[in-house]
Amino acid sequence: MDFAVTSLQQEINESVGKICRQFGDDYWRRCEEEKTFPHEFHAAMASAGWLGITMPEDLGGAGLGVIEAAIMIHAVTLGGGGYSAASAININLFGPHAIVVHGSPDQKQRWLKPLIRGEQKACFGFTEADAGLDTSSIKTFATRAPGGYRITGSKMWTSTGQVADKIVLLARTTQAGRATE
Amino acid sequence: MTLFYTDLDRRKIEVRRIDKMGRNAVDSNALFIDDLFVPGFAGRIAIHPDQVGTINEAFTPSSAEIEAARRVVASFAAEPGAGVVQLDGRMLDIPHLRQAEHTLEQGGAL
Repeated sequence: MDFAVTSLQQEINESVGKICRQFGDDYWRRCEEEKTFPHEFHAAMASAGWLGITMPEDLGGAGLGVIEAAIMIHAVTLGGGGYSAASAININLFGPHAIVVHGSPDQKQRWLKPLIRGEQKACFGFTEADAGLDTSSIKTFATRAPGGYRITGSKMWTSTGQVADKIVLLARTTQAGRATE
Repeated sequence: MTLFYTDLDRRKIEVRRIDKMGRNAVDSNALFIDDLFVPGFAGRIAIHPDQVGTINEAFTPSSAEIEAARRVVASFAAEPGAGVVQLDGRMLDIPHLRQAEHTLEQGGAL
């Protein structure tokens, strides 16, 4: 097996590093002290196309895989923002992937494009206080209602909830223990 | 289990920031979701005529739902121009009206 870094992967590493170097320690210290989301960093990564690295090319993404995304995130965490910088953008790499794989063409247009362009941010509502990695024991419940669902419950450790426009939200539609699938 | 993708409607989802030791540029939160409405399918494609009856039944509001929607619409009609009305001790605002109208439209009862 060949573990050598390809020229594309090398290029990702260098290009992302170049963006990250524009955001120095002063920038990240201010975000940290003022508890403000790094909108400028998020926008810079979006305008260079990195927020769509794992998304389809016809929507403005790069259509690349997990290895390339990992190289990108590695380059991001090497910068002054460390894991704060990674957390500011990493939802885009995996959060909406169910839409990438299972979404209708219309859903992809409406939902993925604004995420790739950085016009919208999504957060990831999976974890609950009593269900961390044991996702199947979540309690948030979605009840069938005319024209859709009504959802009630709670989520925990939801990153970027203060700034998100959208939420990927997991809810039960059958009681625990009664599911057949 | 169902995975939803929807607007983070802050009138229905309270987002409470959790204090952390550092890494404060990106917020971590507790979310409290209270009766968040997520619009779903309005219908589906059938591959056999036998399925049409079941599909229509599933996607058509029940007579109880239509009756409840009628009462909501009537409450607003009784107070022209009002943004908020009361029905059975429940506060209703414009989104409730829109939803009720939608229910009636779906039920062919508008």
